[in-house]
Amino acid sequence: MTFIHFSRITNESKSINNRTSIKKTMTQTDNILISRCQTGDKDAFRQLVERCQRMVFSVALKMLADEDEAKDVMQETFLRVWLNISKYDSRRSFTTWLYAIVSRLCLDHLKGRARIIALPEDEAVLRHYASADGQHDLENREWVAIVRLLAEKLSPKQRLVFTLSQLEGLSSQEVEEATGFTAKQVKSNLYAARQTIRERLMKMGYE
Amino acid sequence: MNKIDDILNSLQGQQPAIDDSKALTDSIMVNLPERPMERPSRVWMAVRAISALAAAWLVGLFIYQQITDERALQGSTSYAAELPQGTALKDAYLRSMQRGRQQTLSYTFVKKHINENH
Repeated sequence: MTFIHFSRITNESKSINNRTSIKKTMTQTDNILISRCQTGDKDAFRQLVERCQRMVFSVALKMLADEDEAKDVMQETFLRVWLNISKYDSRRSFTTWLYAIVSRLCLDHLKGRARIIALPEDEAVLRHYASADGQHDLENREWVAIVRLLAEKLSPKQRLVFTLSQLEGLSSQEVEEATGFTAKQVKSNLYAARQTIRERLMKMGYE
Repeated sequence: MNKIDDILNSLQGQQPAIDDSKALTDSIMVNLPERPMERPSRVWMAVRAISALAAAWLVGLFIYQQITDERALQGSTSYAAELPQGTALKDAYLRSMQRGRQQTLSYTFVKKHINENH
């Protein structure tokens, strides 16, 4: 048991280090690509899209709980990036800027939609995932089911903060920059989201 | 995993895969316009703002001038009629200044009425 716990900690710290070093490398390469995009270089923009599309799709899918809609938002995001690339301030993190654009688009899409309602089979998906030993990569339909279940009673802002902070792993400062919320708003929305989700999972028998 | 924190932590950092990423990239690229919109320089934006304000001010001045002439026309037709025939334009303008009228009589207006009276 102790060995399993220790190896889990080691794996987690390794993944955090990997994420940090990946971020640094991404930043340097991104800056070169962005400079080329600002001169109208479409090949550079294609490379940027290929590097960042999974990240954008991830946020969109977790916010909207619909694969097709997430793909639409992803396309809109990159179109906006292309149109506004000359306004991008290189002192700012590119990924944070990208998160800001996709977040705004997701909130706009959520405004015109009816509330998300979890389906009975969504609970089964979560139970199956929670019962599996160790992590396994979720398929998109599983993501949709889990997000529907977790986000059912959350407001759009709570969902956004929860997605960026808890599911995407952004720091509080990054969430503030991406959403435009104050530190207090981020904290209160995250707290409210966690409480709502906790209550939901407790009803399912988790502690 | 029975603990809620374990479930939420295990979801963190996982990113869904895109089934047809190349096709999506292609469709994004196809819809892009030719060049990104260029940001105008600050100097140019300042010139545009000043020009717009100046144009608005001139239009306002023109409208004010027109309204003033209309009022003068309504209030001063009797004055124009009082001018004896053959009055020189200069004398007519001086008389209007001497009378110290409240309404402003533009040079153009006085000239127009003197011409009409001939």
